Amino acid sequence: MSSTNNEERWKTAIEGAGDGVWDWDVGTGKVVHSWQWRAMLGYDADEIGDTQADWDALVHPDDAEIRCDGLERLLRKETEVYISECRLRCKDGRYKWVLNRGVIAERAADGTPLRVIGTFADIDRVKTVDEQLKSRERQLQEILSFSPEGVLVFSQTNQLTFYNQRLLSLFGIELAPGERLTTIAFMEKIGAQLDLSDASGLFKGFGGAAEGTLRLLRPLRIVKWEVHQLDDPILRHILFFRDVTRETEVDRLKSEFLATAAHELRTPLSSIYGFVELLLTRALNETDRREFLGIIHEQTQGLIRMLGELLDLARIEARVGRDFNLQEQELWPVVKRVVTDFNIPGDTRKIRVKLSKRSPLASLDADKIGQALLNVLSNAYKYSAGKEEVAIESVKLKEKQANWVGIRVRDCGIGMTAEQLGRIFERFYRADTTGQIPGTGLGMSLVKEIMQIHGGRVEVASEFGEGTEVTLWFPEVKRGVDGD
Amino acid sequence: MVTDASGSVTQGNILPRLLIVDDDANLRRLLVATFGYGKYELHEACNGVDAVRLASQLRPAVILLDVMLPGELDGLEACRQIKAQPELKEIKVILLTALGQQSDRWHGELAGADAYVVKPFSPLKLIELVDSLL
Repeated sequence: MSSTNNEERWKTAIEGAGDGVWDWDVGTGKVVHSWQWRAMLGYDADEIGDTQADWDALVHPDDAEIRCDGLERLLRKETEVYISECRLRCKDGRYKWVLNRGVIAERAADGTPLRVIGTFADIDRVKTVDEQLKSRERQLQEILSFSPEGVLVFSQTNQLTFYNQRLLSLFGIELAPGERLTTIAFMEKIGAQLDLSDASGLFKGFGGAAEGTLRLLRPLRIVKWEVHQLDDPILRHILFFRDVTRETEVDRLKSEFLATAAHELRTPLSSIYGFVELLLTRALNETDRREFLGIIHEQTQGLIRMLGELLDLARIEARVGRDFNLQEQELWPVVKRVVTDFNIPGDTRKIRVKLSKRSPLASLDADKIGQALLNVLSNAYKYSAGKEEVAIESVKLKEKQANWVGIRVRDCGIGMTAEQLGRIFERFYRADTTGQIPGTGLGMSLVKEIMQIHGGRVEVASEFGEGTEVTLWFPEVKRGVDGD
Repeated sequence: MVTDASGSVTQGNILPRLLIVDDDANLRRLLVATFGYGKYELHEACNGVDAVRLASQLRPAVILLDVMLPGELDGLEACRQIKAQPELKEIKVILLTALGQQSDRWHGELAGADAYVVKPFSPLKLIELVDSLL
């Protein structure tokens, strides 16, 4: 009797704390629950039966297995305490998270469990907060997965605690979900990708240096990194990695261009400056005087031409063709005008022109195309001095997407080697390095830019010692039905 | 017979030899005009290979060597090869270059050049420089 009293007192105490108590007769399967149990779920006293099976029916299908498994393990004496978290269906149909704990209270002489008693607690709020936290984390992951920067977080104990997808793709590595890595293990993983000196710089970053640059080897990439140190045991070091390959490349190209331009300007300036100084300080005979003045004049012309072409290029690039006046028109009149006006002093060769009877239509800026063709023609003349005539002919090309019409300029000059041909559109590149053939090395770059803005292209074929063939291709504009 | 550079100045009738190496014809003309007033014996080359060959054949006192030369041997490499040969390393090499960066100058020093002149240059100052090396 006193033991029953004792039990009652405990029950009262537990229920007073807001938890419920249950008492399960294993043999009969009957369960006695304190009233909180039902009230918690919104049921009246007579709405739920008093067998274990009645309660099982309330368990969320997804949690049933865990619950049964837990109880069985207790009965099989594999565990001293039964603990399970499961969702129970409330009267209004919603589910509520409940923490269940139980111990064996009575056994038969042979040890068979006869009676299990336990408590249950409403942990719905805890669970909801937990779910919210997890969902927040998923959202955070999702947001960071779209970050253009690779993010990496190490804890105070140098454990990898967070990273995003971008980090993996940046370094070309894979990590198993939940893979725990130390800082050193991570460094080893990306080590094959790194320049050794860069890697040590990054390591030092953990000590204090806040940012730096890495060169990744496969594929070649320039990556800027920065480290932030926090006073948080989990978020001790936060690292950001940004791919700056493109910016770096553009910067490099710019300074390379400037260096080349400066170099190209210095060469003619050397002649001008030098010869002028000689003219000023030496008593020269008339022949030398005239020769030097001739060179100065020619070199100055070269500078003027280079300046003009540089400005043209810059203008085309900056405006991306916005100052091009593209109009549908016949192509041959443009060609004929250039041919008529073409004149190289001291070169009496005529241009052999062979165009189809009827001019194709193309959308073009006549001035710009005239300039492009003039550049190509000048090259043909310059590099074939004393050889056969230069020829212009019309060509056609049918492709699935469009029909192309082309103007082909052919010379029987010195031609180009494969190496020279490969560099023909490089700014300032000159196949001739002797200074014998004047030029800026910008002409073909201009031709290419002009053709690109016309939706066309430049095709160059050349045989060293045999000659060169340059074709300007235009997408043909279909004529109307009336043939106009 | 080997011309001794310092000896040639004092020996009146033997003029100091100058080897001019540049691929640009105008620049060669300028250098020839600069030094062609009877005080030097002038020789010309327009690539690195010829420069090294002529250095060994003619044993000039001074080589005016353009850095950007076409072909397999640029000016720096030609300079290096000349300075690497014990019997040629007394030849003074003046590098002429259109590159004016500090690192280019440094490359020239590494190649063993005795002087480094950035284009455009003053012909009169270049004469002074050559004479100071003789």
